[in-house]
Amino acid sequence: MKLDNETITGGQLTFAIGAFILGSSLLTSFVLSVSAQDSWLMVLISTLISFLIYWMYIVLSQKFPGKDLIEINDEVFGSIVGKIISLFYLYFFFSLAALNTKDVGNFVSGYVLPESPGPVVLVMFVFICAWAVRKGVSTMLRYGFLFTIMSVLFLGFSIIFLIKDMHFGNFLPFLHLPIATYLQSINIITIIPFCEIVVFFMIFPHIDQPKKLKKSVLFGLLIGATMLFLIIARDTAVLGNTTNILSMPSYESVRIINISNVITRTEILFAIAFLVLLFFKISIIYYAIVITLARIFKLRTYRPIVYVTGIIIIVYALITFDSPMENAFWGSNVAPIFSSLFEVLLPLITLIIAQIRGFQKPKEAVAR
Amino acid sequence: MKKLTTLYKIIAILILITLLTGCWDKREVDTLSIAVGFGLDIADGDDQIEMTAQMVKPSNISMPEKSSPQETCEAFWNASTVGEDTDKTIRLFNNKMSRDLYIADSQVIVIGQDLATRGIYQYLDYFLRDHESRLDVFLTVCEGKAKDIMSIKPQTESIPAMNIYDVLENGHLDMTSVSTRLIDFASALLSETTAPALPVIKVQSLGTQNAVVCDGTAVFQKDKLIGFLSEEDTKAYMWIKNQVSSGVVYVQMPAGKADYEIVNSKTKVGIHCDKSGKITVKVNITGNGILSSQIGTEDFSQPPAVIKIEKAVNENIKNSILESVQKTQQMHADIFGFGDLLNQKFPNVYDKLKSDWSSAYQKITLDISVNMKTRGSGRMMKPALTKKE
Amino acid sequence: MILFILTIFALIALVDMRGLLKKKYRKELIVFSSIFIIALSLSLLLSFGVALYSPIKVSQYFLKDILHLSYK
Repeated sequence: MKLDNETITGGQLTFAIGAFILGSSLLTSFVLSVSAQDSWLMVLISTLISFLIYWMYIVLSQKFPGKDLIEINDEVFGSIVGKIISLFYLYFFFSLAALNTKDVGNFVSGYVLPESPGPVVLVMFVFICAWAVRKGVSTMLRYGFLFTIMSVLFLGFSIIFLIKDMHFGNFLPFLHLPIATYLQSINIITIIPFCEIVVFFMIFPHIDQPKKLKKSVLFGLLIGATMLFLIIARDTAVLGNTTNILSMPSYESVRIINISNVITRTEILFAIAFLVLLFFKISIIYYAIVITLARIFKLRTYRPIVYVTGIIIIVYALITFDSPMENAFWGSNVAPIFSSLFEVLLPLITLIIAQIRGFQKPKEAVAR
Repeated sequence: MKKLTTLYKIIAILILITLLTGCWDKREVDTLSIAVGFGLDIADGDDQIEMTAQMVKPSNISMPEKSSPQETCEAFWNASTVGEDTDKTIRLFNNKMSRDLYIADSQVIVIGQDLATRGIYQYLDYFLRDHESRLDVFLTVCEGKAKDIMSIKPQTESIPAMNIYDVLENGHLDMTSVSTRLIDFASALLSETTAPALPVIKVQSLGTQNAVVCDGTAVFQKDKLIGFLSEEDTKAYMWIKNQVSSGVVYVQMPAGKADYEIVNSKTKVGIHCDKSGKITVKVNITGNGILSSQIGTEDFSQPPAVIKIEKAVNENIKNSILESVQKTQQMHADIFGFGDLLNQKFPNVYDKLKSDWSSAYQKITLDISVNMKTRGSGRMMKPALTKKE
Repeated sequence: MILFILTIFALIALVDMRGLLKKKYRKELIVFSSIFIIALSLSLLLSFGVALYSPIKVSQYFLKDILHLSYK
């Protein structure tokens, strides 16, 4: 049962995933405060691990073509247990949306508009996201391409302008930290930028050519991972040992750009990229929440509940944490465990049970 | 129904436009007092500092000096306040002035010598944390009081702080100062073995006027000032840090004197640790230079003589580097970052030595090789006058 | 602030309810109204300064203090 009749192309999906991963990549302090100079290697390892996890997502989705996560849960677990599991996912999606909105709020309130009341900023932001969600999936994903290209260009410029400030000695000493920090760092990178893609499970069914799903998703991972790698490498090379103590390393390294006193203060471009990419990311998570609600209550259309869900997201975002320091603590220490339950463990269990119960990939259902 | 949706859209857009102007955060430019430089000194009370902020008067920057003596057309003005730490003092500024202090444009932070001996990180933490301040302001220590140096009106610039900024930034052109940004200072503080170093500025009289010049380097232990390096030693510091882009080396030889101008140079520093734990730092300097002036009995433009000059220059640079490193070893201050270099290449050795780096630092030997090639001898091939005895 | 919240909720009601009433979607109306009331009460509580329990903090407490599954 489709809640709307939109289709998206494989290319749109690729760039949407790329932009989504990029949105999480601009807050690199979670990773850099843990594994400092070796973070670039952690990105590479996490990419390989995420590759496997994405494979699992694709296999699961292709077993049930045209069905999104909630419907898959219902089929695999039965309607009651399936609903309970879907409620868990709902809680997770809500938390994701609230945390990301809180990040936007922290950035705007901390750097851009310190005196404005936080709720007003969030209301305006979430209102735009809500409008995008009401317009539908294909409208939203259309912009993935534009945002990705914009970010790539900006990243390229920043790297070129920062070459004179880079010291490649900052990458040494290599592999000298305790093993636990490496495991923690790999966990963080796999969970926060890469595997939040689990929300895309609600969007996979809309693809027009299901065979293209694999290629599109993995290509999207490639784009996102390359950008994250470049961002982290650039920050480590420029900032050296101060990456551990800065609260937003990418912002500060862009601030340092100073070409003959002419090209300075380019951090505004970073702020624009940040807000735009996070808008995209939050819209997609928002869409996932709304669709989940619609499926749980078996509604015919999701449009009416968009705005009210938005208000709940705003309220939740305002009460998550009292201060950005708690947010940072959560991100580095507890989030990897919390998110991996929903992003890795639950889908894995779903896949295993689906396999046991004998759901094969259905043949072309022409003979019906 | 269509009309109603357009009505809603218009209402939504109107609300957004009103809210997006960000009224709460409006800061008109003419309500801001733009500070271009800060000076920190010890004040008379105990534990108090005196902060001098230099602010611009934009309307006066392009006005020429008026001949009438009553009009002071300076483009800047200094204000000093006494307070307990940076944050409180800046707020006192805002209290006393009609305009708010805007620190994002500040170019230099000048620290008085007395305050530097007390330890400066507690005053700099504000500048590191505040979102408005920039991490690439230049830090410098001055002889005497920062307040006085910031009042010296320069001849070519209208604002003293910009003048100090230019003096510091151009230090690499004549090997006088290693311009250190706030983030470099923080990076040195974070390292467990490096001692931060800041350029020193002082007032010198050039005939009838006073000018601000850079003279030597201030050496810190963590954030407390412990000593100075002379101008000669500063040159060695710049050589090791690969910050020499031009400058002059004076050589004295039996056959006469020569001035050798460095056109470009590149320094590679490597560190080597052998099995017995002996640490050697290899410094390799290559570059090009021009014979810029000479006086003596010999005609230094002939190839054998050129080789003599190059050798003398190489020796000169090598010795000056050796001397300065020895001086810093006596001061127990690793300003060159050899400890960090060891950490990068031999982290295990570093872990063993870092708790007592000052004694390990004294045992470091240097292996310097300098190789300057002469690119030319200027406009002339032979000197016009060779002193023949 | 309260006026602001009430205006927004009035607008949302106007925009969404009209569509639902016209199409006579009963189930959607029920779900919409319940979420509407939840959102309204939560935001009013927040604007009155009531400290609401944050669900994320519950998770954090659960994972960190009870199961000791966090990194620090």
